[in-house]
Amino acid sequence: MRVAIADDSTLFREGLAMLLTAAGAEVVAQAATAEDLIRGLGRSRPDAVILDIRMPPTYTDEGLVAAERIRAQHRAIAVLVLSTYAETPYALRLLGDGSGGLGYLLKDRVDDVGALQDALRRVIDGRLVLDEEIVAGLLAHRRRADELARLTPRERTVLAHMAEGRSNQGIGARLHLAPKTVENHIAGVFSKLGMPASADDNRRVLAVLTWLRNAAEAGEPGAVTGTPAGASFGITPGTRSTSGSGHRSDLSPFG
Amino acid sequence: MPHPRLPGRLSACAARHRPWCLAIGGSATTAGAIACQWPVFGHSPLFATLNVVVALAFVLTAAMLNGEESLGSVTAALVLGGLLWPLSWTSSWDAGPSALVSTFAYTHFWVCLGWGVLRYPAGRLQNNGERVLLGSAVLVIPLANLGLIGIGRPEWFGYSGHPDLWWYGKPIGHGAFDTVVWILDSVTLVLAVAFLLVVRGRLRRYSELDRRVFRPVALALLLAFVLAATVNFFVYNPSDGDIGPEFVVISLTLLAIPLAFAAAVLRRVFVRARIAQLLATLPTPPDVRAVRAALQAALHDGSAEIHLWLPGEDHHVDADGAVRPPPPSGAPELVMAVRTAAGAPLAVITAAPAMRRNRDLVEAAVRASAMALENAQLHATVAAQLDAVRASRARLVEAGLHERRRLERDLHDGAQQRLLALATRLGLARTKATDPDTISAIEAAREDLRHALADLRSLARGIHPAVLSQGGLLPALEVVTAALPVEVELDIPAARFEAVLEAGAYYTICEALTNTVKHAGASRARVAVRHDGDVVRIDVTDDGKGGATAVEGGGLAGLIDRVRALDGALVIVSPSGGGTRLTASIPC
Repeated sequence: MRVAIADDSTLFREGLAMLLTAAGAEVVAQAATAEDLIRGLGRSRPDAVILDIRMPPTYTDEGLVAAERIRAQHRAIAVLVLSTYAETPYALRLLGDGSGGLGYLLKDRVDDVGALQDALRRVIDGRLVLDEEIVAGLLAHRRRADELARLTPRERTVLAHMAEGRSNQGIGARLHLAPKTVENHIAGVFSKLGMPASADDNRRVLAVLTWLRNAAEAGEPGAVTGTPAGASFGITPGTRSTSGSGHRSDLSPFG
Repeated sequence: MPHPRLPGRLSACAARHRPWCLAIGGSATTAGAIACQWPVFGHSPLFATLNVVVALAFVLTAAMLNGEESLGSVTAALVLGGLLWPLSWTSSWDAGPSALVSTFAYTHFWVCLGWGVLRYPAGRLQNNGERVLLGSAVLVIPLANLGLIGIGRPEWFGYSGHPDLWWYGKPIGHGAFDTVVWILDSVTLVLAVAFLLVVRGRLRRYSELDRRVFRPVALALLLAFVLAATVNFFVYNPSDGDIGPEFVVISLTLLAIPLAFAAAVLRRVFVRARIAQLLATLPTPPDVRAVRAALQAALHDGSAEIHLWLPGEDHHVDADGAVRPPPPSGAPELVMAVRTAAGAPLAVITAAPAMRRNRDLVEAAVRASAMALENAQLHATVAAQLDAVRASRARLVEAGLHERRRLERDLHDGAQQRLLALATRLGLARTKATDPDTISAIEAAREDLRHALADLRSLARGIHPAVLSQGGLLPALEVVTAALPVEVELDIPAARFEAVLEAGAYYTICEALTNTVKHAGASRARVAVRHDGDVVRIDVTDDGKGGATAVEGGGLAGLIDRVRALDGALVIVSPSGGGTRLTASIPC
């Protein structure tokens, strides 16, 4: 596995490189800025790049911008964004159109090389990866509490794994369940929550996220932005708009 | 020339005993005027009475206006005129010195009027041109006319030629005499026109105020002068013969002169009253601009300016608030310093150079405006201090935000990255470790490190959420509200605001939501942010139990302070049982 790293903290970058090397990956490039990394991609040809979000020059969202560029210019290179903070808006912006090959993890995960390798492998396989802390935050949110309470603990765990971007197989491996059992749980989740089932894993991630992020009532269109595009359900803003006053003048007694 | 003090003393004495002055002056003038033109009463009683009235009008107006500062220079001329006019009608006696007295009085009457007007209002002639004009008038009108007697016969003047009539000189041919008279009349007309030009030039130089005051006088005089000079062409001067209608017109015009002077005085009185009235109608608190507008209107001087002294700033500002030092005392403008009741410097008022003549009016205006200016000064001082406080508060808020961001960045770049590097080392150690004890020790260290990182993250986020600077209010609040146990609807534009405002709005909303969670017992809350012109309106509403009040040192009081620090205002509506609505309006 060929990996390139961009992070402005030398200490962290070196540490990460050392860790990945020890785990058998080949660190083909290191850079302090996203710009430097992107310039060298043609030569280094990594399978995946690991990007910090806050990097020079503005220390804001360079990593996200770079991820979008890399995915647009180098379709074959997967991107794993590491962030000091688990920011749901950023994660959702990154996962974007659900085309896969993208992941968003908290930097803290570097203490577990197995998890890191797993995430890298999954993005290289063209899947979406989302940090468990973000999923946990979404699941803990009150807006879906009543509906989520209808799930069994096992089903909730399965839902979380789906949101983190795991396949049926991956879920089964994590939970030590037979594929058939996993499928049953997933079917339970979808029917209890009224979500349309989706065969495509990446679409499934977005569908779950959209469902989690949408408020329970239908009366709040547009309340939260950043809803991933391509979600196949949800309330469409604008359908509630009533016909305007365009014809009012016809009814006017003074007309 | 009498002692310069003598007229002053006389006029002061007359002003002190004005009723006596009026009574005696009036009786004496009436008696004198009747005596002078006694024969006229025989054939033209109406005209004779009119002349008595003219004389009375001159003398009584002078007595009434005596002491009026702006007319001091004219009263003497008016009295003199009032005596000379009836004297000129002694010609009607047609005996003794009447021809000489009449000629002397009639000619001097006109010169006297011209002199009076040229002295108005400064009390002296203003330039050599005026002196030459007056000198020529004295030379041509009285002297030439007296000389004319010496070369003519009484009959040519309209007298009966009675041997009792005093006469002098040696007559020349009648034709030559007529030519001389014609030349003299022409020169007289030229002088009248020259006088007209001088007066017009003066009107031009005057301030608007003076023009308004002087115009009626000038008009009445010019009319009388031109009329008299024109009449001169047709009749020589008053005689015992028929009194033509032209003299009735002249007399009526003369009557207008004292009235015009009286009107001038009244006008100034009106101006003074207007000053008091205008300054009394100033708005409260008065602003300097309003005082200036009132001054300019009252003084009819659009260039009048107020230089208000700001004690805290140690400089003068004009009515528009711009720093502007007053002109030095040697400047052509009229410069007047105003002091507060306590004697401290308050303002310097300047008026057009032409207003120097009306110093008394400007002084009246300055006195009347002092109180308003003192208020305005206080107001301006407080406003300036408030501006300074606002500016320093804004700087403090900005510095606070800057400091928070710096701290968060230091944490992020320093401690957090170090600990994360440490995490990679632990991960590395974990892959290398085989001994179960070592592995469990590493696992324990990893667990501790995760807690440390989580703590540090929440600390850094509390200091300043990075997502706020990076993505603005919406993503920052999404992160916050995701973790709250109440459902929060966010209605926030994706547009970015100024960093200070964003941070202020963010903390305000966070605190409001914290209150909601802690005290309101709400199940739902709504946050709306609206950009409304030059104000950002933040609404935080919940469906909780309401009844929230701001108590000293409480959360809501802190919120109010936070919003005020941004120059905004916070309104809390929280009826018991009816939810809470918090509305903050912050200028942007």
